[in-house]
Amino acid sequence: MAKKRDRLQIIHDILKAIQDKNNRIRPTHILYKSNLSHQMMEEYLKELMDKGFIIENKEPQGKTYSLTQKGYDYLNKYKLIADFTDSFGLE
Amino acid sequence: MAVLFLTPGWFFTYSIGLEFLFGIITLLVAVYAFKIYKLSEEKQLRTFGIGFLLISLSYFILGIVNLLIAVGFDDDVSRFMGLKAVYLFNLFGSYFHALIYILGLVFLTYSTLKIDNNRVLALLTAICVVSVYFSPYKVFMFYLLSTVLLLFTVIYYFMNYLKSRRSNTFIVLVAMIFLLFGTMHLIFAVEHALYYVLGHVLEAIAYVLILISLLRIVKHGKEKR
Repeated sequence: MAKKRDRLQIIHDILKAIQDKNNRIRPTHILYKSNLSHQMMEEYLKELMDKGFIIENKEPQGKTYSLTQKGYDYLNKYKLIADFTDSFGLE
Repeated sequence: MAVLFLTPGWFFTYSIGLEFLFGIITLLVAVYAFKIYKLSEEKQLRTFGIGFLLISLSYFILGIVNLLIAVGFDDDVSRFMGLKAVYLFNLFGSYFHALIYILGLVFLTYSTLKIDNNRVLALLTAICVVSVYFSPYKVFMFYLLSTVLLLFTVIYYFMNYLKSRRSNTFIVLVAMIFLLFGTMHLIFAVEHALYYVLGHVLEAIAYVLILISLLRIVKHGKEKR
């Protein structure tokens, strides 16, 4: 694996953080778990929503994020994704 | 008349088998790239998959053309059609293979540039297609351009190996080097038949290495699930 945390790894970390929090997580927890700047996290969350990996839930206490089936599939097949992209230099 | 290749008679049947083998291996890579694209939605994977799909298609076209020439056009058919017609069939089949193959390499090279700009892709495609189309030495130009594109790809895979020193990245790097040398040998196949054989053998090693790499990825992916 590459030493530097690449994009796919960051996406994995965000999705894993959501999964570990019983599929309902606040942005502040994602910020803490993903170790990103606020701006970077917002960009990643937007990308993940555009790709259909996560959905935003608006609740009285504030917004939370949950995984979609596509998000779960990404987590389950992450090893395959990472191996393929790493071997063929597609990261 | 344009000269295609000097192909040794004894090798012609083997070369057809190899072309179908290359087509199947590259198709497998394309299918897996699309599968991973569907999971990750990374555009680079789609471009890479299209590249390998086009390369696969080009080998199937070449294999079918050569197969028809080897077994489909017997003496009676050749006499009926005329040798010139068979020659033209072979010529246009080979040119079609070259066009699709070079497009595949353009997509593959573009995927290594890590950019998302359709104008760059269109420019690369136009330069390659126009260069081959207007060259009086089309086969030579085709293999020369393929060599240049593969050289860029090899440099990229070398950098990738330095970044991630794993056995799979090394296998893919070696495969690309074999593919580069195989293509370079095919440049000289117009003059010497032996280079045609050598080019195919080097390509065969390259594609087998790519297959090994793919099988390792699939096996590893299943183990960790």
